[in-house]
Formats: sequence, structure tokens, C-alpha cells
Amino acid sequence: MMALLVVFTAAIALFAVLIVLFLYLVVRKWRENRRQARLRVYKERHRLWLLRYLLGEEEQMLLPASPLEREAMMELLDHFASLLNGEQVQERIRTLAEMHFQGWLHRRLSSRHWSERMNALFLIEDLQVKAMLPEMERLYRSKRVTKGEAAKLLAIFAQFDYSPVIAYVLEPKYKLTEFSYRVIFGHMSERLLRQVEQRFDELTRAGKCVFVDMIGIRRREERSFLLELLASDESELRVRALKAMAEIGMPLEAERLKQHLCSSHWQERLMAARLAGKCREERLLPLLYERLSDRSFVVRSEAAAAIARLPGGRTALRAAARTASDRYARDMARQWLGGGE
Amino acid sequence: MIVEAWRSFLWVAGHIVLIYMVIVLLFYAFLLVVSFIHLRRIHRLDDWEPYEELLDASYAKPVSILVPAYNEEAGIVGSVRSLLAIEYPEYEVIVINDGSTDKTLERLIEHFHLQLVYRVIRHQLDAKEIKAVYQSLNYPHLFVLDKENGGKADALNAGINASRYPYICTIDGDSVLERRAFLKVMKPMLESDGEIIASGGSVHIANGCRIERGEIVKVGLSRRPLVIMQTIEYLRAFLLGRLGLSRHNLLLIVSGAFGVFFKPWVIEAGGYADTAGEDMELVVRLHRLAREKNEEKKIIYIPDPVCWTEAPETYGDLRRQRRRWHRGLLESLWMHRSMLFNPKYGSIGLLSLPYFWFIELLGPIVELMGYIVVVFSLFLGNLYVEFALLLLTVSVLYGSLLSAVAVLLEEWTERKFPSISDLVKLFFFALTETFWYRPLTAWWRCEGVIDAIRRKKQWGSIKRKGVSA
Repeated sequence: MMALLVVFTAAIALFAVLIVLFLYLVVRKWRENRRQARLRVYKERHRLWLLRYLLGEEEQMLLPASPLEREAMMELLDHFASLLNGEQVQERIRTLAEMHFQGWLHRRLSSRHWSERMNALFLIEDLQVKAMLPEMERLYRSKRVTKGEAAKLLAIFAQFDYSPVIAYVLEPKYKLTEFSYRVIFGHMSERLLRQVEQRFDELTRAGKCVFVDMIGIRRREERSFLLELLASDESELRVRALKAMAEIGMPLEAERLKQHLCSSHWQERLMAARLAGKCREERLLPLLYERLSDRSFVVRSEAAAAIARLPGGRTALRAAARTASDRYARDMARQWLGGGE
Repeated sequence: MIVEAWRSFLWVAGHIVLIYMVIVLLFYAFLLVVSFIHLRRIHRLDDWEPYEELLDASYAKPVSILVPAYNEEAGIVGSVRSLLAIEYPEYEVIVINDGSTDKTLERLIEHFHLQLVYRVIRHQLDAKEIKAVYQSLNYPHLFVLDKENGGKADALNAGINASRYPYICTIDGDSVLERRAFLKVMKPMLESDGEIIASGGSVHIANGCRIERGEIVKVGLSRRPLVIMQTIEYLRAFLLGRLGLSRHNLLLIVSGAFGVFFKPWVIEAGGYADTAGEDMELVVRLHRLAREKNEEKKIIYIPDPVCWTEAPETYGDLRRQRRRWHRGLLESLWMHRSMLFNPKYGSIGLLSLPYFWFIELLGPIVELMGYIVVVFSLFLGNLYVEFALLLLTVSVLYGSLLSAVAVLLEEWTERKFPSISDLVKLFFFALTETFWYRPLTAWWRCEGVIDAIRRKKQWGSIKRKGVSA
């Protein structure tokens, strides 16, 4: 009887709490739906005006009179920042943001809610609010900064061409993943990248790999640096260097390429084959032809793709499809010929 | 004498059920707290900004999307169309027509202008023969494999063999993906530098939503009570169960309807196995492999990315589906029984598998026993009536109130349903769960156990109208 009473009371209490919570959420939903509707109306009404102002066709700017209007304006600005290019437009967006949202951003950056601080960072990044740099620096140095925030802050520092970012990247607060390095280096100016390059040895392994990748992605002319890396003891760095060279289309003499095409690491053979395809030299054909029978499927496939790109390549593939002693080589050649030949 | 024995039986069974339910309730309460803390932390986070940079191809890694299809002529075109519209820098879609006997292949050929191509298939996993490979003229990243019928697992293995990219995503042929779901589910995998080897997103029910040209235009709720209850059930399963388990790397299910895997690990684990629950089976093997190789690998669930799937609308279809799911669960658990309470497999052996054995698998049997005890006890006089009421109250807590909590948690954090009337409906239907939906599904799941013992096998597909037709 006692147990029944206890459980029954607990159930009733929980039920009552749920009903109260439910009513609260219904009211919140109703208010939120209404607020969203008003936000939409304001945005629709002022969208064109703001656009004209940003494009310089309108001189007078509307000032947001309430928190709702400010939110609507922020959303509109954020939207236009992703759509419109051009220095003048970006400058106007930045000025507006600095004029109206700095106090708001400051409060958000100091919020105890992680998601609010993150949202503020996204907005700072989108609207390029460089005036917030000291506050971001303070947040980065604070004890409460989380891994996600730290990575985002470094990406924004890089975007804002903020020099201390070099020291932060070399000695990060949290271990940075390859992905984070990629985003940070991806945002860096040529000036900052040169500084990182000078201190390349101080980077972590992940940092080094991504830095080399970035040479290829950004098509930076770093011939001697990449050639140096090809002699590295670390196979991963050799692979990344070959990949970067293939991206840029930086030729490598046949003798050196042969060395990598015969590597014991399949990733190195793969990237060497890719680079060979970019070099477009007929004398690489025999080397690549050998790789059509490679024990790795992806190397075979890459070798066939490379041959198809070389002068006289299709003739070689036709020959391979007919006469190669290795079945895999024949199949791969056939695939790259489109199956019809 | 017989009456006495019957009373003793009810007394013992009733107490077992009661103790079981209280333990499970406490466990769910723990999961609820974990989920709540996580969702609370992220609930105000911008919906899109964290993923924007992934649109840059140099940050993302290419993915092969595998869509196994067996007699999916009603929905396949819409599903594929939704996949072709997703926002992701580089991917290929591979539809695997697993020997359909209807017009699935013809529909695909006609709609996407497919032509035969020659493609070398890398034989990494065992699968039935692929008769032909097609490529779309309009969408060069869309391929269709036409193969002999071999079951869903076999179809997925064939898809893995034909795929080119390092990540694979599996999607059911009757599902529609939100355009950005992909970026969201991939982000933690990319950011983890290989530590996360599988990740799954939420699956919601599409019945009642407005879908145009393979895209969700308006989220809504079906009018059928059976579908509304499934909507609630999915919310509860994903928000309370999976999220809580995922936070401690205890997840054993990445829904077959929408999950992404790192391919080399899937191949090393042996690909998909021919069981009724091939998705769970693979996840268990991935965990097993990671523990055996002594590598710290994670399998996670992400609440936000949503895949919309068609729920069965009739009792017959729902019964078939639940029987199949439960049979699959038992098969997987039985196959890996050596891992149960085995300290070699760490938290998976000591926490996760016991959870799946004692709560997920045995739950319906105990629940059903509870309903029987309640009904009979009500006829047996004073003390038993009190006990019946006690048990009933605990069942309401266990079923209805927990589901209502899940609905409120969804509204507090995710807010997928825009209309107030939908929220009201979900809440009040959740409260009725203990009185009709739970006993029904508990019975069907018990039938699944019987099927597994009798070793019944079939694809078990339900009749489709096509969510995006």
C-alpha cells in the first residue's frame, strides 16, 4: 500500500510537472511563431532598402529601433554578406555591423552559454567585424574557452590577418586536428603562410601534412620546398608533396618519378601515378604501364587514368586491353577506354 | 490448489516485472539527463553556420551513397532525386537494384536517362553477381547496379565493392534526406581525423509532411493515430536512447535508413551480414574489431541531421516491420553472445550489450507479462488490485510519461514541428501509449523472437505508397 502511494504520488507529481512544462512550451511556441512572423515582415519590408544601401544606391540608413529589428537587420546583413562580393559592399556591411552590433556581440561573447558564444563568432566572421579582435583575443586566452571555440577563433584570426595567430598555431591550446589546420591555413594570407613555412619544423605532424596539402590547394609556387620534402624520411610527407605537385601540375623528371612509382607504400605509388598523368610526357608511358598490374586496385586505376591523359596514351591502353598478360590490367584499361573499345 | 499456484505465479511474475521496470526507468532517467545536457548545450547554436565551410571541396571528403532497392518503384525516383539535390561537394549515388520484380529499374532508366557503362568492380566483399552497371547521362555521379537478388546485406556489399570513395553512406530506398543532412553527419567524422568510424543521423517519419520533388517542403503530422504513435516512438528512441548511448560510445545501432561509415573499416569487419538487422550487426562488428585491434574508435549519433522515412500505416505492415526488427536484434545479439559481460570488449561488453539484451530484447516479453499480471490481478481481490494499480502506474511512467518527456525534449531543443496543434497532438497521444500502442508492439516484438527461434527469413518489406511520389 505504501509503495503504491509513493509511486502514485511520484507519477502524479511528474505528470503535473510535464503538464506545466507542456503549457510553457506551447506558450513559448506561440510567442516564437509570432515573433518569427514579425521578423519575416520586417525583413521583407526592409530587404530592398538595405540592399540598395549596401550597393551605394541609397545614402540614408534605417536604424534598428528595437531588439527585434536589430535581429532582423543582423539576419539580413548576414544573408547579404554571403551573397554580395566586392570590397565596397563588404566594407559597408562591416561598418554597419560595427556601428550597431558591437555591444550585442560583446555581450554574446561573454555569455556563459557555449552556443551563444559560438553564434557570436560565426557572425563576427561573416560580417568581418575586425573591431572585435581584442575581445576575441581575451576569449582565446581565457580558461573557459573550449576546443571548438579555440579552433574557430584561430580560423577567424587567420582570416583577419592577425599576426599572433602564427604563435597560437605553433603552440595551440588544444591539439588541432588536420581538419582544423586545413580551415586555419585555408584562411591565411600569403604573408602569414610564409611565416608558417619558415617555422615548418615546429608544426605538429598533422600541421605539416596539411601545410603541404595547402600548397597544392592554393596552387602556391613552392618548387624547392616540395622537392626537399620528396627526400623526407617520412613517407606521409612524401605522399603529400607528390599530391601537391600533382595539384599544381609541377613536372618531375622521369628518373625521380620512377623512384616514387616503385615505392613500397601504395599511397606514394598512387600519388606518383597521379603526378605522372599531369606531366603529360610520353616517356613516362612504360613506367605507368607497369603500374597497370600493381597489387593495389587504386594504383592500377590511377595509372590507367594517367596513361589516358598522356600523348599516345589511348593507343597504349588499347594495346593493354587486348594483350596485357595481367587480367586486372586488361580490365582497368577497358574501363578507361569506356568499355566500347 | 491450482488457484493458489496461479496466485503465487502472479505474485512472483508481478514482482519481477515491477523490479525490472523500476531499473529500466532509472536507466532511462540517466539517459534522459545525458541527452538533456547535450541538447541544452547546442540548442541555440546556429543551424547552418558550423557547416558552411564544409561546402568547400578541399575540406570535405568524397562519399559514396548506397541505396539498396528491392521493389521500390513507388518511391525510388523521389529518393534518388532528393539525393541528387543534397548539398555536399563531392559524392556519387549508387542505387543497387537487388533483382526487383517490379519496375524499379525501368523507372530509374527512364527518369535519369541511364546508359550501360563498363566499370571494373573491386571484389572486396562477397556479393551476388552484378549483371550490369548504368550511369546517368544527366547526372554523371549517379550509377545504378543491376544485380541478382541476394537480400539487403548482399546488395549493400555489392555497392561497397563498386564504390570509389573512402566513406560510404547507406540510405533506404524509401527515404528522403534533408539537403544539408549530409554535411552535418559528415562533419564530426571529418573533424575527428579518423577517430569516428561511423555516424548516424535522426530518422523522422515523413507521413503527413509535404514533399515536393524529393524535398521536404513542410513538416507535418499524419492524422492516423498509428503513425502519430510511431512519430513519438522515433523521437523517444533517438533523443533518449541513441543520444544518451552515443555520448559514451555505447551505440550499437546506426540506422540503416541513414548512416555513414568509413569504408576501410567496414571492409575489414567483413561488410554487411545476411541478418534481418544488418545495420546493427555491422555496428557490433565494428566495435568488436576496434576492441580487438585495441584502437580507440567511436561510433556516434547526431541528433540534428534528418532523414525522412515512410512509416507503415496499417496494423499488418507495422506488425511485419516490428517482427523483422526484433528478429534482427535477437540474431545479432546471439551471434555476438560471446561479447556479453566479456571485459575484453570494455564498455560494449559490460554495458552496451547487457542494455540491448535486457532492455531492448527482453523488454517486450517482460512488458507483456506485466500486462497479463495487471489484467488477472484486477480480478483477484484486494491485495492484488493494489499491486495491479502499482504495476500499472509504473507502466504509465515507463511508457506514456517517458514518451511525453521525449516529445517535450524535442520541442525544447530541436523544434522540428512548426505547428502548435501538432505539438498538442504529439503530447496527448504520447500519454495514451501505455494503454494500446505499447501492448500491441510488445506483442509483435515477442512474435519476432518466436520467428528468430523458428529461423524465419524474408526481406520483410512493407507496402509503399512512396513518400515523395
